[in-house]
Amino acid sequence: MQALIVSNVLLWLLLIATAVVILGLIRQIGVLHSRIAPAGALMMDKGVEVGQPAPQVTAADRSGKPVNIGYAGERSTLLFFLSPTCPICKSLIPAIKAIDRSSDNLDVIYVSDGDPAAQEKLIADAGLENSRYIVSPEVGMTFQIGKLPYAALIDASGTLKAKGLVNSREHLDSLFETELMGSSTLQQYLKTQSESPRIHTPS
Amino acid sequence: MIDPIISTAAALALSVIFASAASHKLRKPQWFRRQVEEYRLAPSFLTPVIALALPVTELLTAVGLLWTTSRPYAASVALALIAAYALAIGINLMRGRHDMDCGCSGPAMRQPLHPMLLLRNFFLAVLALGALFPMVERTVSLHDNFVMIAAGTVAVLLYAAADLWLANRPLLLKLSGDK
Repeated sequence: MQALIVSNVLLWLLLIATAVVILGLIRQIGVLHSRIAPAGALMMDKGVEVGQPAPQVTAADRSGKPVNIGYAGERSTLLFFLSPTCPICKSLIPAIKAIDRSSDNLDVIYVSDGDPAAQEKLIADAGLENSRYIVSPEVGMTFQIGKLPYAALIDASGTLKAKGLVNSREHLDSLFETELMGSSTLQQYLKTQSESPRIHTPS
Repeated sequence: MIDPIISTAAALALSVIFASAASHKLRKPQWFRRQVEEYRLAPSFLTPVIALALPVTELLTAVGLLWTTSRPYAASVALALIAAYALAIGINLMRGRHDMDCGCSGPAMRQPLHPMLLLRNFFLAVLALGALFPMVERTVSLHDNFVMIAAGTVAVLLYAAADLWLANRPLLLKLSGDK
């Protein structure tokens, strides 16, 4: 009798533990799903090619101060193209702010377009009051931005180092990664890899 | 007649589930009012009344299930609530509103309406029936008490896991592109 009771209690405890593990696993699947943001279709990029001098354009920020983009300066520039109507843009703003805080030699400029009242609301919601925020369709047109959210990295000498559609923190980090690796896109990286003789590729 | 272990375990699990449901609704009254409106079942002037009455009833049910004297009454109310929710979901499913948020798991987790939710409510109804039936008179030992609490805990954990599982399903479908 004693043994049966002990075994029964033990089985119940193990069953509770199993249920906790199942709950934890299913929760983790949910978190994974929320991390895999829609990546968007691969698109042919227009505009200036990576490695070329970035187009030079000047636009006024919210307080009317002129902001020079694409000119040689002391610091690199990260352009983040967004719009108040794009929900993924909003979800990326914390990541952009984190990058802004963590790097000393990088200027982050938010470039937006659209209804002024919606801009004000976005700025207030995301806490961008002290950031450089430009509302100007010209900058987007100069860089030929077709899709949002889009980011472009320009180095101190005014060269376009990386650019691309950014749908997640990983995409954003990959911009800095491409600068480090010297390949402008993943496609180009794969191409140079396959051209190197050490790797066998079927032809 | 039903063994006290089954009755108490079912009542404990149901009590926790109802208490958590009521807390979602009472903490986010705005959200729940919108949710009630979204179901489009009652005239809009009744929305604030329903949005307050439902969580309060749920909370009272959760408390009432804990004592054996009030348990049959609380279990009947719980059964009625579960049936009413199932009816509301069923009517909206018949209307073809598959994209609507069910509001079942609180404001943090969106969950579109799906026939599986009816199955979920069926299991909740089984729990309520377990608490509703009269108990066999017998002395309850320490080990019986342990089994009651353990079984109730497992039921709550499995319910939470099934709920998350249902909520994850549309995310997976979105990835594979099916609807």
